Amino acid sequence: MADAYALYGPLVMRRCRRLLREEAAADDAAQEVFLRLWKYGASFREAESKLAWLYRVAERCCFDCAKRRERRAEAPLDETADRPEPRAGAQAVDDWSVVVRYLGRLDQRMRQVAVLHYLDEMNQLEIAAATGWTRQTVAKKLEALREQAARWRASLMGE
Amino acid sequence: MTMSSHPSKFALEQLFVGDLPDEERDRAAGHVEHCAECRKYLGELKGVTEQQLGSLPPPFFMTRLRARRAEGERRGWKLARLWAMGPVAAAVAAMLLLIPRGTVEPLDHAGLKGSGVVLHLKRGEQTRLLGEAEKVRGGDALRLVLLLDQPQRVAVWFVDASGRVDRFHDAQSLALEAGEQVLAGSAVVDSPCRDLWLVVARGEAASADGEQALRRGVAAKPTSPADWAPPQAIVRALSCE
Repeated sequence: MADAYALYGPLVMRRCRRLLREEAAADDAAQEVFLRLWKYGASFREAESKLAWLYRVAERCCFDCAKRRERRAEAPLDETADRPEPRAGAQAVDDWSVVVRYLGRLDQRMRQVAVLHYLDEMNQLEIAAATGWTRQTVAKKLEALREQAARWRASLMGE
Repeated sequence: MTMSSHPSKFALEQLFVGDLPDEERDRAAGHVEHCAECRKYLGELKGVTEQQLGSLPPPFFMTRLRARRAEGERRGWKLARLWAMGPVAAAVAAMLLLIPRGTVEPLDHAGLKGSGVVLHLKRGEQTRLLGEAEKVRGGDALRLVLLLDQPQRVAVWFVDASGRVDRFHDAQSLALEAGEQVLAGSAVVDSPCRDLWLVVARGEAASADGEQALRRGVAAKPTSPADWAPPQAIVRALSCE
């Protein structure tokens, strides 16, 4: 376990911080990930990609936290948490900074697409391969996500 | 992925932790060799890793994980017992579980039942948990993790067999929240090593008066903790090799 933490822990922590944008909640979520690793070690050992296994568990833990936070109507506190430096350009940065605030409002599939697209910078084909969906499905979800991000952005700016 | 396009960030992270199958790893590594941008990203991952492991090394993280797991198992045990009871007894027991944290028994942690303190030892380049019966050496650096079942003031001293009392930190006492608290700084064992005791006093005993009482007791009978240990203090004996 200590070895798993040494190898994967920092990236898991980083992902949780980027999803939750609050240090304490992110650390808590990261601990939960390793607790689940402790409990479901066999599944982890059999995973084709250990990092993908950990990231999916991390996302579930973080999304649960985001939903609880959304119910309590708390906004993420840390506005200075590191933002992705995407190659896609300023629009992607802007979209993610909006989407991450409202992750709890997205359904599971849309959240998955958001994370794979904005955090992992996967293209449509890569997202399709990771999720098992068709490229067309991924394209539609990305379009819907961008439109939703635009609506949230407008709402945040009081338009 | 073609050689002319970047791997996704996820693929680079997989490369970083050695998670890619051989063929994909070779392809990604071949790209990185000629791509400053991707090398820069790998450099960032290296920085993140070093920073995280520096601030929360594996032994500390494992301490937290064990404590959390033990707490979860204790709750799980309580819930299991509830189901075994009849409905009225279960309802009463459920109410008892809502009693504020400060009134339940102190946290058990990683086999150090009731002690509420965990020591991490740094010897050379190695950092690890100090075993309960393990001896220390001159030059060993000790880091302390306290497990508190309620917010309280604590004071920490090291007492050695010659009667010397060293306060572990500058402040007379620290006001700490409940839960796991990693104390800043390390205590370095003297060379030559002398047997010593770690003393963690809580509440009133952590005050200036408490320290004076401790010093008087140690001066009178340095090697007899039973005579000078503050009330409800955690005392951990550390013998030298």
